[in-house]
Amino acid sequence: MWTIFRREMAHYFTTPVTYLIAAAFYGLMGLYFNNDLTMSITTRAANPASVPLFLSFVMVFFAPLLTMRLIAEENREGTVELLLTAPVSDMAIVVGKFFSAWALYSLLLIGTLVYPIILNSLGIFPDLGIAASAYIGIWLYGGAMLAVGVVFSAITDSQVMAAFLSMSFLLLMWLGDLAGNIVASFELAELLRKLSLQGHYSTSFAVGLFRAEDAVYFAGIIMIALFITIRLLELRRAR
Amino acid sequence: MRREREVIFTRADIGQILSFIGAFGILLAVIALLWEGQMNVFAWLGVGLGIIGLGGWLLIAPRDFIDFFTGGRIRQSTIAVFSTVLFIGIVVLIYIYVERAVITVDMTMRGSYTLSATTLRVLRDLNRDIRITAFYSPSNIGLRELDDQFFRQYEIESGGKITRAYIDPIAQPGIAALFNAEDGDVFISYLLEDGTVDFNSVVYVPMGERQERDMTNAINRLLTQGNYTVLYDIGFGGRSPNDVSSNGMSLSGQLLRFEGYNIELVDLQNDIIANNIAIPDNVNVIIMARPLRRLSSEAIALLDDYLKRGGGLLLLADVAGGEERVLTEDDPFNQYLWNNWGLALLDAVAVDYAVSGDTPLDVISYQIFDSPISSDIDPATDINSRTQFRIARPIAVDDEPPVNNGRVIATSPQSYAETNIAQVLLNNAYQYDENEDFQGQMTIVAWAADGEDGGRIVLIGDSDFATDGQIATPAGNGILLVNAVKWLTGYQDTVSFGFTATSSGLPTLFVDVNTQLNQIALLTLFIMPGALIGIGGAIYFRRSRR
Repeated sequence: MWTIFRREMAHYFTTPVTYLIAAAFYGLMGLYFNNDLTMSITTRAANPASVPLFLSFVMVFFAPLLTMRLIAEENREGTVELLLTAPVSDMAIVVGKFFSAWALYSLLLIGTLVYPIILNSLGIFPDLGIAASAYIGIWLYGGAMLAVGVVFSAITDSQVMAAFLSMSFLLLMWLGDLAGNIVASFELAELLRKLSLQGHYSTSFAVGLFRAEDAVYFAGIIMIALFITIRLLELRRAR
Repeated sequence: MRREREVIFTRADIGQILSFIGAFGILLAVIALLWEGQMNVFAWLGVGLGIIGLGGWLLIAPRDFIDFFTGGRIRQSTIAVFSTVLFIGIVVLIYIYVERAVITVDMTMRGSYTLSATTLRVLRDLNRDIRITAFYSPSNIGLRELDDQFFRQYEIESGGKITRAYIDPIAQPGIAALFNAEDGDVFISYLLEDGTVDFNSVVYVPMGERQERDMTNAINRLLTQGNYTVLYDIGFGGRSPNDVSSNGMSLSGQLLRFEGYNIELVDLQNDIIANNIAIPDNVNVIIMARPLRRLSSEAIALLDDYLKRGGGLLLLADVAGGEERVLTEDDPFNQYLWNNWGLALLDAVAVDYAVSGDTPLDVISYQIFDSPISSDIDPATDINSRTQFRIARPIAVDDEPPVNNGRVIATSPQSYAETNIAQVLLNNAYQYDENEDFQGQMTIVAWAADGEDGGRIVLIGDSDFATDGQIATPAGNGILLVNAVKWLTGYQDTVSFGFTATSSGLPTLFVDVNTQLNQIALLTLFIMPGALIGIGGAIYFRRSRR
């Protein structure tokens, strides 16, 4: 697994596209942060969770960009066969690739800590605890999204298709939070919210409340997605 | 004779069938649990099937069972699908178990999700069952989740004295109509012996950002409902809660009624003094807003007697009076206040060039002192919680008073007391005169209390702030009035949310706003992304050269 992880990380850091994605990521985050900062001076108090909350939406589009290549490229170039015959287990391949994407995401996330630091240095930071909670949550949230992206990368040979499918799926999971607007039954709306990503973030981590069930939800999504990906690779090996 | 073909079932086949039964059972249990939110017949049936199926599979084909979980020999897609479904079921079960355990950690520095000692004290003293009735439609499900995290704490910490009930106003419009409720509204009420809501006690809970304060204050209102009486004096006082004009005080009366106080009107001179009777013991607070004539010696003696019996007086005094100037230096009532309570109104107008509203005569709360009366007035965190006074009178506070006293709100150190009142009132003009005026911070709100059980006074050098035209703008004006009455009744001593930390002035965030914002924008919008583009470009050119 470690070998796969290092190989993927090396690939990330030696590919110009990764830096372009990271630049776009910080550009978008910076734009939102500056707008939020201006608002916090004129109309309302600064919310330490505003950038992570925005990130919870932005990741619907960025997570597939980070994962689309992972297995789809191996499928397209035929190198997956070599990989499957190498002395590494399917689990090691999948988990190693996933952890590399998660590590890159973690680095990007660390970079966004500059925003709370700026707020803090200006003396307008209301609650560091909320920031810590929001960041722990968005780290797990991102992990879950990346794991879903890995599944779709394993399904198809096309990176574009993998990205499109995972974006669509993640958008559905993100929108599940709004199910109440279209569903008349409270019980059904509640069930859909429990299944959605935002339902486990916006009213807990993002407001400074750590709930074990939310951590289990994100960990569960990661495990289920990786489990499915491993099964997909095993089926490929069996063919 | 035709010979029938033998049908052979291997142990692996039986194991596979049992595994499907087990997986079906787990899924059934999970769905039933999610649907009902608790264990029911279907959930137990699913659990039973799951145990029988998986247990049977383990007994009949232990090798397959182990291989399934180690993942080494899965060759068929059906098994892959099945294993995935089973794995999802296991994860969902773990999730449900953890959700039921309700493990939460309040990570906020202010302890926003932990009930304060004040709330716990209020909950500990509850002697009747209370119901929180909240109305949420499916579109408000997120809000309900957020609120429920609070309500659940009230239920737990009250030892079950407080219970929760959620109603969908769209699905049950009849119940919503009984409460006159809309989507998102929250109410508290006592419960009758049969467990139904006592509709005579329903109190609306305004849910703002400070949820704990809102809920606990609502509980306080429920507990104090009808227990405290506030008298508006309309004999000497020139403002009445019956006056609905912008100069009237009808909104202040409504606000206090909303807080659970009985509001009554009295003419001290004609109703009390003329009849030679004392102010009744059940009167907790007298509000005298904008006295238009000087109090007679009988009236002063009447108030002194009332205050000595533990009464509360809220005096809102303006510069402008009626036919005669009131509460001037030679006014006996002002002298009484100074001699007995260590407070006196100055014959001047506060002018603040540094922190004010439209003009320097609209002074804003700059310095807020540690006091229950200033609770929730904190412009540094909420700009709307500031107070604003129009042509306010400064108050002198004796530093060696005969009773305890103190300041609540003061102007900035850049203010001064304009003594030429006529010029201010007639021409709205003011000019600092170093020979006549005096410079420095001016106290606009002050308090005095005669021991634990003695009387209390809150003196405010303005009455305009409490009129219908200004009580809600800014919101701090209304907060100040309610806090003052609460403190005067003495009830707030037991339910106060603690003192607001002393804060000076409005948030001064930047020395030079534009320069700092530009620097931040440069760093976050150009330097950070630009550096990454630079590195990416360098890698591209390096690779293209090879």
